Amino acid sequence: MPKSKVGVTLRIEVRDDKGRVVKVIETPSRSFTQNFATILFASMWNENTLTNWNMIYSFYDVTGSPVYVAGYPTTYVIVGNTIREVPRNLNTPPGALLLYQIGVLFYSEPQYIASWYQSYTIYMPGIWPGAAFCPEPVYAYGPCSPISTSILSPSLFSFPSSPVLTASGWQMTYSQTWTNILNTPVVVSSVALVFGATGDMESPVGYLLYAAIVDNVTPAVVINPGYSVTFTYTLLYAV
Amino acid sequence: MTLLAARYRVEVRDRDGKLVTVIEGDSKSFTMNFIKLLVAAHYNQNDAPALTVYDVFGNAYYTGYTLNPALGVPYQFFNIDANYWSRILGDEYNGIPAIWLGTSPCPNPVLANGPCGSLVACCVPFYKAAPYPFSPYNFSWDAPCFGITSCSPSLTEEGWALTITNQWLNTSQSPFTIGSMALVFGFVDIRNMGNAIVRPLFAAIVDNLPSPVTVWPGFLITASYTIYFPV
Repeated sequence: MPKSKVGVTLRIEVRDDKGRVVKVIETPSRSFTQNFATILFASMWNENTLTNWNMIYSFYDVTGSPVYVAGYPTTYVIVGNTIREVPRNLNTPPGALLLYQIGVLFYSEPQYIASWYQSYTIYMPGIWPGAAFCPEPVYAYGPCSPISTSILSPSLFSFPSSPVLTASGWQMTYSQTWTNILNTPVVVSSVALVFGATGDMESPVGYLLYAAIVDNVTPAVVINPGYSVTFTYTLLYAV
Repeated sequence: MTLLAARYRVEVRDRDGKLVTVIEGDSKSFTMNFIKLLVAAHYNQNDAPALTVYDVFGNAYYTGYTLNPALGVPYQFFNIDANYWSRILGDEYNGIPAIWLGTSPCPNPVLANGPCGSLVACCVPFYKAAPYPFSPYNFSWDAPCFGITSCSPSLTEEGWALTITNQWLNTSQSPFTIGSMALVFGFVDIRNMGNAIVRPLFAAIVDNLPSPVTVWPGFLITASYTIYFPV
């Protein structure tokens, strides 16, 4: 029986300061993260249902901060012949971000990202580079030791704008180029496909950033001064 | 290549619970409609492209807000929260997530909007409407995640697994042949986030059964889809 599946491939191209390709690595990607799987499951439900089922999903954004998807922070109880609204015992840490529900798993534009990411190492969806290997990519929050945009300068993140049907199926391609703007070499050991997700809460926060896929780059690639590296993820939904 | 796979399994049991048919295989057809919703989900509400998509009943919409009928930007499009699915079929039925059955194979499942032929398993009457031939069997309004799926992802040898299983009982007096099946999700527009409006419904995957199966009155058919996200 023919297989109908989605393949995920990571391609890494390093170019020198004259634009010549000096290295190509192409490898199967292996690691949809636990965070992606959790958000996918959470996105199946309405906030009222999460409240009624007393269900809580938790995941980590790309900074490693916990996010809870839990329905409303209050619920209704019957006391005698009256119904009262009471706080739910959500058992979440003080100050943790609490969303009533969540959706949008694949947001890829640079606008409307939640304000607190503006001061983070990288601050918009894309394919992020990291300086370190991740011990277990499936449980990583993002690339390990993300590399600042003041070291590797990003181009615009390229993401799908229309369905592309190839002989192998539906192809979704994500790509981003980073250029070393320092005078010293930079080592990239891990990468992450980072998307935005958003949710309903008392006051809208914009899009959260989370890593849907994390991969180690083995062997690590060295980006010399003036060189650039292009990461391309290709997801193939076979038909 | 490491793969994210969708697999299906169909079982038919007779009135005594005896297993009479099992079909299992790799799903072939993420639909064009699903892929278009996936593309639109990358954009915010000011930028989303206008892509034509069809709901499970064949009604046309445009993603984004520039062309009418405007569908909007996908907020949730894996929604199986039946509590908030809008009524369907002239407001006379409640849709039951998530695997619907049709009597015929589809000429081209990737372009299908839903299961083909007559729809026999999809819904329950809201008020006085006539029931569909198949009634949901394992679906429970009171059970966590309605009893049709686990509520959280499980890590298997093949990756993160999302399994949805629907059992349908032929409550009619006639046998029906099942030729196709579809995994149906509800859509929530990002502008309706928090408004508890889930509509319309879309088939993310459509498959023909390799050989149609006959489900006699009183027989139970179990249909499962498992999607694996590789690790």
